[in-house]
This record gives sequence, structure tokens and C-alpha cells, in this order.
Amino acid sequence: MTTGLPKELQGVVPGCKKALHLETLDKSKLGAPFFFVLAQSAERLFQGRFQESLGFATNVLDFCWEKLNTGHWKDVDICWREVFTFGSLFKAICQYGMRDRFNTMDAIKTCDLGLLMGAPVLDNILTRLVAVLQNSARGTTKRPQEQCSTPAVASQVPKRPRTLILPVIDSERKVPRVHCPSLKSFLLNYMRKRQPVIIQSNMEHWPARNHRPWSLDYLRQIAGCRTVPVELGRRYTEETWSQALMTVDEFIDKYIVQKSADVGYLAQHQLFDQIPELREDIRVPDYCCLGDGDEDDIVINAWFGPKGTVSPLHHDPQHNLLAQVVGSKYLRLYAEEVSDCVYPHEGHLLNNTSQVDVENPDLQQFPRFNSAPYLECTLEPGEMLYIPPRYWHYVRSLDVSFSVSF
Amino acid sequence: MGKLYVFGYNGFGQLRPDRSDNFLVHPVELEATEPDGDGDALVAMVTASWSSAAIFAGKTVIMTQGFLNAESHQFRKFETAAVRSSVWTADGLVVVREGGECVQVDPCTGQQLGRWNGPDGAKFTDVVCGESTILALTDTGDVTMLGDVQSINPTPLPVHVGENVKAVCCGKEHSLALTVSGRVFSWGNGSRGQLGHGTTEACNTPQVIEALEGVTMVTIAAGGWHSVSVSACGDLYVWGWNEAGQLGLPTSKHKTGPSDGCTTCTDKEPSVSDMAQQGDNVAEVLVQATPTIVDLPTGQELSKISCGSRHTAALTKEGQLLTWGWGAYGQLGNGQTERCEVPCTVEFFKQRRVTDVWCGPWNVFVQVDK
Repeated sequence: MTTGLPKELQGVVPGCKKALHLETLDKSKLGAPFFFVLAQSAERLFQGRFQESLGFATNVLDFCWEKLNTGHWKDVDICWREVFTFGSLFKAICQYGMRDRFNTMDAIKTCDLGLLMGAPVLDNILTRLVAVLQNSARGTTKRPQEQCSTPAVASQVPKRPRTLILPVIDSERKVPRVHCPSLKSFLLNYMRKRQPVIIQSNMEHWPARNHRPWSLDYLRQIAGCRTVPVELGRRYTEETWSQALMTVDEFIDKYIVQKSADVGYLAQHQLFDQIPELREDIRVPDYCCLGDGDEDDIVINAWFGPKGTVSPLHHDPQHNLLAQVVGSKYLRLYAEEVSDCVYPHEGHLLNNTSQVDVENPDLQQFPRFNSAPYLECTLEPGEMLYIPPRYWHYVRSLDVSFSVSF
Repeated sequence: MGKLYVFGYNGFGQLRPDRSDNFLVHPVELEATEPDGDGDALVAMVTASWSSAAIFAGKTVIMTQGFLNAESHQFRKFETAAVRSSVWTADGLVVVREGGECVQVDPCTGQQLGRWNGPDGAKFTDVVCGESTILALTDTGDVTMLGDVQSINPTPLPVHVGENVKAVCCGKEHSLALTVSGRVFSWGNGSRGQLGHGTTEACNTPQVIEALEGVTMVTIAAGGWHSVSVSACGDLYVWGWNEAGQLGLPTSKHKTGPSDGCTTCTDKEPSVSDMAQQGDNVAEVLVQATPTIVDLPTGQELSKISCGSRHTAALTKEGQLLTWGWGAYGQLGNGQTERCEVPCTVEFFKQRRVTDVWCGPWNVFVQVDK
């Protein structure tokens, strides 16, 4: 019986408790009391008893939250993340159903927390629900107007006067640039040779660089009300570093538009899983099919922040393509062979991170650093940088910047 | 009659089976015993899990409430041989009898379901439980692990502290031991600083908390991810996670959990000076890896402390109750659901004399003098 559910949701949300298939959850892991509360929330939801359902859904979420914070995140049984999604689903529907007390933004935020901390259930129902909620909030089912498709990309992206001081790139140490190499050429000349390279002219077909150019206004339109994780503090290696959750609007207001003393960085976040509309504005580079593993396994991360965000010198195990959509970044690269000159941290948690502050190195503590050869570049909008596996890289944004990594 | 007051999470009727409220923000009375002519029987102790509570009225009468026998809002009352300590585990109710036996009992009937042998025939005095560890203390001052809740091992495993232990307690992932000499040992996961060794590293075997050396502690308590102790001089020491203000230290303006009101949330821009600095007790603190003293607002001395998942309760020698930390389920007893990052006297008990306090994960049980 769908008596309880608001009309707009009936296409997206299952019509009855049975369709949730809660019986497939592992009751022995969840425990009888928890399962009881989860079932109670579901029952009341479909009876339209939103206040009571919300109470139980909140119990579910708070209990799950404690489980997710016990032990190492990766060791937490996935069932807890799945029920966190169920709890978020019930809570969001209740909030939407009680619009005299809550607004649609609250329900959207609930979905986002579920997407951030939960694991998908019912064919990624939260993504589908949040799309309906966003449309309801906008009062329309149409996406924001596309810009006129004038291929003069440079004029579409908001241009800020270049008052920024660009680092002087040593011509001897420049990262080479190449125009759209063939797959074969890229594989043989760069991937196999572990050679960093900047690929130009390979993002011109991206809607984000073309007819739906990304700007702060556009991002606000598409995703302003969506909750995202933001890193606060200069560098993740420092004690003052922390993470916070806020909407994209709040992030832009506090950390991009205002001259905040604090640095806020929407970093290393799978934003495009969370907000499929933005996924449509980017294209996975063809070169990604040359890497190991399935194409479906490619992790796409967003990196969006103000001028001055810093990613300390570190390396990653996989091939990496860093595509610059908006703004510029300064990068410095050190080959794996000179690892002992960059003084990696000891201990298994941070040994992929250097102890050295690249642009202000303590040469007394780290005497070999200045003798290490390196490459550097200023990565401009429309360019993508190939970083080989285990190649050390340091990144600083020179302006408001949005990068996408593959 | 024991006069027991309860507040906090009641989703299973574990505080008041007769009430359907998901939680109680104001203290309400709970009749602990029936008048049976033998005068005032005080509540000896309370032990509460997330979904149930066991109230020991006198030492031989147990009242259990909450989720029992696969049903919610249940109530049972039965008599049993005298109990001196008790804890809920994932499997049920474990008690230590006055005679020193440690047994598992049916929470509906009190029937004995299983039993542990003391190491070398020693008697047990106390039993406590974390997320998956059950620890027991013997009358010889030894700490033993009664095994994983998943597989109750009838032969306890010794935990080596190296000194006579007089009290043990567990958080979700860590354990604390208080020795007869007043030293505090900790072990387990330390990712929130709950071990008090100054790092977020784990520690597999009991290590003394160096920062407390030289101070004699008289009582300890552990919450989900935080630790509390009181010294002989009456000072309150706290360490571990402070995400909801459970340490009584300033918190971030950002919400942490799903249900998290923040009384300190303002429109003020967070600034660099707000970030935690070592030893700076004005700035916000998220993780306190080394014990620090928290001043009490009234300057009173504490007689007992107890911790829930993310909140703390303390009893003063003058019979006042202080609470602080997470409050979304009314577990601070002040009629609010906001978190509180400063120890606050619970108004409701100001005209009364509180004699004991026990915390469940999201609630509190308070005993008051008649």
C-alpha cells in the first residue's frame, strides 16, 4: 500500500516494506534489537506515521554511526553501511513527508550523508531519491539552461585578472607537453617509460570546458544544496587538519568567495558518484583504458578549492591523470628513484608522504633535498597531467581551481 | 523503596516500559522495588545496554526492562543469589555473585546458562564489557579476559598488568585498569587518544599512563571512546574523543554525528586560532591524547563518575549530579537535546541528594536519597 508516501516519491521509492527486502540483511551481525528498530521504522514509514518512523530511523543512524566509528573504517562490516543507507532513506522520506517541520534541503542533506557514509542498496536508491528531491526543491524537472555552444572556451570560463604571481618554471625542468597523442604513442613513450607529460587539447569536448562551462554559479546551480566533505587546515600532515561536512554553497561562500584565514579544500572526493549531473560534464580520457584493471574500477576524484590549497609531496600506487578544468596549479614531480632525497615519513600510514615542505624545505633537517632532480609545471585549464605510479608529486593551486583525477 | 530516576534513550522501553517515548529529556521516576515491609531497599546497581537495563534492587532482586526475549518494552522481575557486579554482553546478562562466581544468566528468569572458572580457583569481584571484550577482575587483583562475546571461552585468559588491580572498565575499543596504588593502565585501540599515551597508536598490552604518574587516582570510568578518572585530591582528568564535548573541553562548530545539535554553533567564521593546539585549553579539542584536568564549575569534589557512549556523568560529594557531552537523546537530563561541552549541574536534582549514578550507552540512571 502506498497510502503513506508522498506522491512525487512513488516512482522512486518502493511501495511497501516487503519491497525493501530487509530479510536479506544479516540479522546475526546486526543483532535482534537493532533489526527490530530498523523494521519498526520501515513499518511506520509505509503507514504514513512519519514522526514515529523518523524517531526509529534516527536511532538506526546513530547506532550505525557508532559502529562505523569503531575499529578501522575498512574493517567495518559492509552491512552497517548498508543499513546506514536504509536509515537515511527512511529519514529523508519522513523529512520530506513532514514539510511543515522540515524543508526539502534537510531531506537532501540526509540523502547526502547516506551517500557519503553508507553503501548502496536497492540499486543506489539514494541517488535516485535525491534527484527527485532536488527537482522538487527547484520546482522543475529541467536541468539549468545550457550555455550557447560557442567553442571559444576561453571566454566561457570566467576570467580573473592575472594578479597572481606565477612561479617561474625552469626550462630545464619543465614537464614536456604533447598534443593529444595516440593511445599507442602514449603507452610507449610515456606510460612504459614512466615519463610524466602534459597532454593538451584532450578536454575540448568536455561539456565542462565547452557548452556547460563550470563556474561557481554553475556549480551552485547544479549542486549548491548538496553536502560534501571538506578538508580544513593547510596540510593533512599537520595536527590542525580536520574534515567537515557542509553544502557546496557553504563551501563556496566560506572558503572560495570570502578571504578565509582557513584553507578549505574539497579534495579527493568521488563527487561524480554522488552528483551524476556533474559526471555528465566530464569525459573519462581514452588513455585510462591502458591502465591495469577494469574501466569500471576507475576512481574519479574531484579537487575543488581556493587559491593556496596544498597537497604535500606524496605518491600514489596507480597511474594518475590530473585534468585541470578551472584555474591553474603548480606541480613539482620527483621520480621514485630519488625517494631517499625526499625523506618519506616512517610508519606504514604515511610512508607515501614526504616530510619535506617542497617550497620551503628545511635543509638542515633534510640536506639531500636540494640535490634531487625534479620536474615542474604550471598546469593550465584544458590540460591534463600524466603522473606515473609511485611518482612523487606536490600540488599548489594558483587560483580558484577545479581538477578531476582519473 | 529505592528512588530511582531515569532519563535518556527509551526506544525499547528500557527506562520505562510503560512509556512509548523514544527518549526522555527530563528525569522521571522509576519504582525500583515494591514495599515489602523491610524498609528502604536501595538500588545496589544498574547495568544498561543499548536496548535493555537490569536494575538490582537490593542484591537479590533483579528487574530487567527493554528488549527481552525478542520483544520490546518488556519487564521482568525475579530473585537470584546475591550479585556484586553485572554487565550486558551481546549474548545476554553476565553477573558476578557475592560468592565470587561469574555466570551467564537468562535476563528474563535469572536462570544460569553458563559459567566461567576463576584462574587457579580465584574468585571474581567485577565484570565489565566493551564492544567485543569481556573483562573480569578477581579478588587477587588479576585481570582476565572472559573471551570474545562470539565464542565464550570458559577458561579466562590472563591480562598482564603487573600490579594489583582494584577496578577495570571498557570503552568500545579500549580498556582501563586502576591499580591499588592508584596508577592507571590502558590498552586496546587508541585512534581517538583514549589510551592517554599521547598518541593515536594502539597498544596490545596494558601500559601505565605516564602523564598520570605521581598522581593517585581513586576512580576510573570509560565511555565509547573516552576515559575519565578522579584523583585523591578530587581533580577530574579526561582524555580521548571530544567530538560531542564528552571530555568537557571546547568542541568544533561542526556537527559530527547524525543527531548532533551544537550549542556552540554560531555564524562565527572558524579561524586558525580556533584549531586545537597542544596544551592550549582555549582552542577546540577533538582528540585529547594526553590526560588533562577539567575544572568543575562549582569547584565541588567528585565521588563517582560514569560514562555512556558519548556523554559523561559525575556525582559530587555534596550529592549533586553533573552531566556533559552528547545530548541528542536527553541523556544530559536538562530538558534539552543539545550537546554540552562543559560539566553542568542537572537542575532537577538541585533540591535533592543524589547518591549514585550509572550510565547506559545513551541514558542515565540516578539514585536519590528519599
